[in-house]
Amino acid sequence: MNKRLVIIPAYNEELNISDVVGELKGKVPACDILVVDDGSSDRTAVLAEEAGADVITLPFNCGIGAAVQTGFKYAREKRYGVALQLDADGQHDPSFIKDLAREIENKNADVVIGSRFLKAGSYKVSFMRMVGIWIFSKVNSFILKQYISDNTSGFRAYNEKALDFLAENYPRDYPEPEAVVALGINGFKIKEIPVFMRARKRGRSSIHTARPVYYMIKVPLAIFMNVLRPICKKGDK
Amino acid sequence: MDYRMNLISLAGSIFLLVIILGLVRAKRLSEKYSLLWLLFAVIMIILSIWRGLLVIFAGFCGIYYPPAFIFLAAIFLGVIIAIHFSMAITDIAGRQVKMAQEIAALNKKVKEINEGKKD
Repeated sequence: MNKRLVIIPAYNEELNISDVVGELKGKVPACDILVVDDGSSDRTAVLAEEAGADVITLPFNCGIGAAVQTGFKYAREKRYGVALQLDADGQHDPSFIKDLAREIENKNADVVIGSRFLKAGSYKVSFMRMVGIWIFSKVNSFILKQYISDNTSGFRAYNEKALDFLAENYPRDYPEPEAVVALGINGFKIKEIPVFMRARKRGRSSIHTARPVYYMIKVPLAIFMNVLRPICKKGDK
Repeated sequence: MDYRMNLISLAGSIFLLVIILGLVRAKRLSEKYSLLWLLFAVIMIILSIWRGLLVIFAGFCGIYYPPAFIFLAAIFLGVIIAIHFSMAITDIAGRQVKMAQEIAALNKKVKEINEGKKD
């Protein structure tokens, strides 16, 4: 049986982290939980530890991509067969972890993405967000010649091969859409499965105020650059 | 009308654009730090091509020879990028000090743990 690790990147999530870790402990007791505290200035790390998670605290804010990658490196070192990534804001229902992990364990894919949009759900996003999500879906599906509905989802599962790649190649900020393209181009098999996502419980998203402008310029540029880059040979840097 | 200044500026701007994109592609420059350079190049290209716009801006600034506005724009954009880098360096320097402090504290802890084992 493959060991499973759930990686939770968290930046100033003291309002949500206890509930998220608690729910994981209740619903998927067999999974190990790693919270990567991305230099939070609040009590995120303490609360995560109290709730029963393993915690790695980065000395300062490095960006969500760097935080998740810290988890990938940890998972690789500890030889987990499946690593899952889950947001710290309570949006992702841990009940779906077994579905994501099963796809990896049955060798149906190297990367599994939990998608909000594959089945008729009631997930509400603002209009601007919907436009962004639609653009990424069109662009990434075109590049990879495979329909990817939810490129911004942070609810994902990876096998060891994908972890080896991501431990060396993962964007520091706003990583999700770019990582889909990087993985696809480099020959990893991606599969989406439907999941239900809830609205963020408390606190605010990391993409707010002036960030969407930066997001919608930086991420497409990064995706474009991935298309131009030579393909990494497996095992290479 | 003499277009030589515009042509030189256009060639330089396109060269800059290609260099920056090449560096990002080779992962020698991160997307984050390439954005201001790309903006710089795109603005310079627009000013080099769009004579009408240049004349309007130059007139607004009281410049009689419109292509001279290209110099003004380039200097202005260059200063903005320089300030941006100064801020980035300040940030990195602060992080480096914090990292050094944490490593030093960890070294002490490791030493204490090792000495504890010998007893």
